[in-house]
Amino acid sequence: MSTERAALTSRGPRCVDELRKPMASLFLREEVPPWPTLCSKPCRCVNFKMPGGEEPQGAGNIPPHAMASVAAWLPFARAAAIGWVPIASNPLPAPPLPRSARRTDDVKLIINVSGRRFETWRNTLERYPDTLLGSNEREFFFDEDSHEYFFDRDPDIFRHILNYYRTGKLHYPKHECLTSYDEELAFFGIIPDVIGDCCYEDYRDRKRENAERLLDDRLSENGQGDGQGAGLPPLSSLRQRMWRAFENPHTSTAALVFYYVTGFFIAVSVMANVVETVPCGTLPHSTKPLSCGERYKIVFFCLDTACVMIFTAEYLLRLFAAPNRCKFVRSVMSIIDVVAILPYYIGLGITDNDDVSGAFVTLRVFRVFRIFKFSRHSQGLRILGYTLKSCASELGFLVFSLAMAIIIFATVMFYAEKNVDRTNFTSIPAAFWYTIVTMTTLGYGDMVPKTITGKIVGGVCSLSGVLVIALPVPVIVSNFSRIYHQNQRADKRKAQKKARLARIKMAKASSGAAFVSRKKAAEARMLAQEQAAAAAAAAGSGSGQNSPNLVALNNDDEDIFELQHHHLLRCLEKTTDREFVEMENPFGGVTSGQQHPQQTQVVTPHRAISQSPSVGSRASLMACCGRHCPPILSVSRRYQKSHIPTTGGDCDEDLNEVKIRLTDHHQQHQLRRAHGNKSGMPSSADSLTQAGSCVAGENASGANGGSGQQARSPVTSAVINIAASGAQQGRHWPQDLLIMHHEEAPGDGSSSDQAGGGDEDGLPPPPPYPNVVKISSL
Amino acid sequence: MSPTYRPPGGLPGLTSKTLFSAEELKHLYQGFKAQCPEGVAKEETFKEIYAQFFPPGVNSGQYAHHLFRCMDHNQKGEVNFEDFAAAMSTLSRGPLTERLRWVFVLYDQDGDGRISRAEFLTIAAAVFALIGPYAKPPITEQTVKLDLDNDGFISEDEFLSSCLNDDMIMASMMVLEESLAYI
Repeated sequence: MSTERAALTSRGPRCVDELRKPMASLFLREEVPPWPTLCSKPCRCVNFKMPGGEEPQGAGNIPPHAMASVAAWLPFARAAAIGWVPIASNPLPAPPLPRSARRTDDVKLIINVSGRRFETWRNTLERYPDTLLGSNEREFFFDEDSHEYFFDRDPDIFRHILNYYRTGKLHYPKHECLTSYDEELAFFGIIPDVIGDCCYEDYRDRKRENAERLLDDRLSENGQGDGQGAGLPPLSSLRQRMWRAFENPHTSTAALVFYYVTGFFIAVSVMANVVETVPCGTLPHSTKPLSCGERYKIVFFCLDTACVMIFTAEYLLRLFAAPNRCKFVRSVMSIIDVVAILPYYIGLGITDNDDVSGAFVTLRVFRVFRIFKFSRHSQGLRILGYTLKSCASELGFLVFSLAMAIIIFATVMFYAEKNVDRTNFTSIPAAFWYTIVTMTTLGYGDMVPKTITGKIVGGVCSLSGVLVIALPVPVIVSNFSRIYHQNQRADKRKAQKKARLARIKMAKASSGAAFVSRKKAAEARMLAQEQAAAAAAAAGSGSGQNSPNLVALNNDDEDIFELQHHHLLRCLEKTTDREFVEMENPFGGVTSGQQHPQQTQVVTPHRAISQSPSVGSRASLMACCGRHCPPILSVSRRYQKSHIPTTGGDCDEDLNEVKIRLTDHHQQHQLRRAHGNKSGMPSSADSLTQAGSCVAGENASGANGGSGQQARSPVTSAVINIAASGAQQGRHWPQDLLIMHHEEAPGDGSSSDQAGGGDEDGLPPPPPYPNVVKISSL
Repeated sequence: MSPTYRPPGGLPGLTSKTLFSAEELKHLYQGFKAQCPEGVAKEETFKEIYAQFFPPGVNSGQYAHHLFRCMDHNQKGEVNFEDFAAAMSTLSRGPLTERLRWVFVLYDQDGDGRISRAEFLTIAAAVFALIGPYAKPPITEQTVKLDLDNDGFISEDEFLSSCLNDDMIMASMMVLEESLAYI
């Protein structure tokens, strides 16, 4: 960072090396080390390197932010050099050629950022020549007409950026989004490292949070994707799958079952441990109470065995599945597992030997550690454990200070109460118990001071105990609360992620559809143009009718773009000898008999128009002209430049899928085309008008204008109001067009057929199309 | 302690008092104000500003201290813009004798009208401190050259006359005059 700071050069009114040269010449002696070399650019640089190459730090390297105003003091510093003159052993060197009155060079520049005008001196901007505004890169944004620099960026953030030039300090506004701020900085060529110290901590913290969140999202997205099985790499071994199942019980049903089963058995085992100590009646021949464990020895033994077997199996499975076995063995959870099951095995090994049974009993105590196995099941427990771990220093402080206080007070109490008759305070360690009980304000009363000194000390002890304990506790509590809330936020993000992913998916879907629809619109327009041109050429007098259509076509800027894009796709098609085809959407094969109200002649039934809330959703794509048009027809139409009216033509598209087909199936299309022809012209017009109604941004008027023209391909009608969202997404293609897989015999079903009259169900299924490649827009 | 705010006198007054034009004064003031928003420069601030022109590790504070003392006419402990402008005016536009006189005041730290050897060496040491801890100041020669009557002190007249007669010093003064022609 310091090197980057050092790398920022700035231009001052005069070069500082002018100041230094006199100095250097004053003292020409060997002891003087080579003067720090100056930058070669004349009058531009105040940076210099120390001999030896280290970058200078500290006051001498004028930090860029100070350069601005310090530069104004440079003349003074130069003037002060007059004091060196009497001492000088050499004459001062000549000054550099004076530049013409610098200040009159300075002009004010107007920077227009999204309508808000900023004015500043040119010199201010050129303080940092490594940035966009300071270099001639800004000329790219110069607007000749208004003589200002126009940037279509956020004016609020630009304010901070301009302040950086003015004051040399870059501040980070807390209310701005970090990513947008970063983007603006990147655009203007400013590195975030120059953020001033006042704001740097905040910036860094937020950046880290953001990065963690993104990482988190990405990880869980990947994890989720994998877990859902769809993207599961087929090479995932049994081990990997098992490990994933163990770590994320929600990934598969088996894992979930396993999770609950182990939880159940942990609970059972703990309960058994507890219950077996409950007195359960007495021995037949004595009054000694019998615990349940001794009475139902076999039952408890079986229960214990079962639990331990389950735990052992679980442990071995985890060990097997663990990617890094050594690390797993050393982890806390695995140690707990081992400690939980070892007593049983050791108990098996030990016989009913009196010596060892004492140890055996001790071992049984360790069985209670099984309760810690619950921490895999409970997030709260994990948080608690993590909190304690992270508060280790506070806990340590608490323990240490308590220990100190205990020792002090116990000592004093002991010596105070030593001489009392039959005192409880028999030794200092014995007094420890009293001190602890008093400091924690428990006050059992089993040990009570009797002397006055003792009572005074006891009072002080209890008062100080409250303080000592109360001090570290809030720190621990706040740590716990922070971690807990972080977890909550993570969970909330995960919950919202589903909704978010769904939204993203819908957006992608719509963009995929928009792509296809735009393409078809482009085709339509091109055909229309050709037709119009042909018609105009053929019948010169009748061109009056046609020209409005042409005009209507050319008026829209989008058309040019679309046409060109379409041309590009055509080139691609030609190159690969394939075609872009839409696949019908097997949307349940719905062909309801509903007719679009606008259509007067119904040739084929239309699909139901479904409602959808969001823009560009799938349903709206279906909205217009819901007929599954045979994509085939559109292709054939395109190729033969003939215009087949179809009802609602290709307006449906499958949202996500576009098929590419080889071109040698035209004859089948011609078949359909023949069928299609029967539907008659008007339907096309109607379908066009109907389609036109759903079109938002696309210019379907051109298409609709050709009512008299058979040429108008109903492809235009396919334009769906995705255009609104499509335009909003900008003229970039969905990057996620992928070729999903090679499909044989798509079996498009009857919907691919279009026949005049009747419903699509009655149509014969199309012949299979080999070499169809599906493109999915996801 | 609330920060003081001492605006300078009006622009016309300053224009008459100094040899600067209004434009130059404006520019000077803008720079002055940027570093010293209160309108006065305390010695610490001044030293910081001056230190920025030199590499780190050098002790520019000594020389800065002397400069400050020179500029601070009334020994108020702070330099306001009038003082600053006056000093700049003298040093950059003033006649030669005025400038030399200014240098004399710089060297004459106790203000008794004479530069003693010790004072001279102090300034020399301060100047050498600007280059860093590398060089040792020359001790005798310069002082001897300037001290015409060899009484161990250099009076103002001696100083002026010896400087005016010294070619090298004159050449250096010309250099500085040229370089300060444009502020």
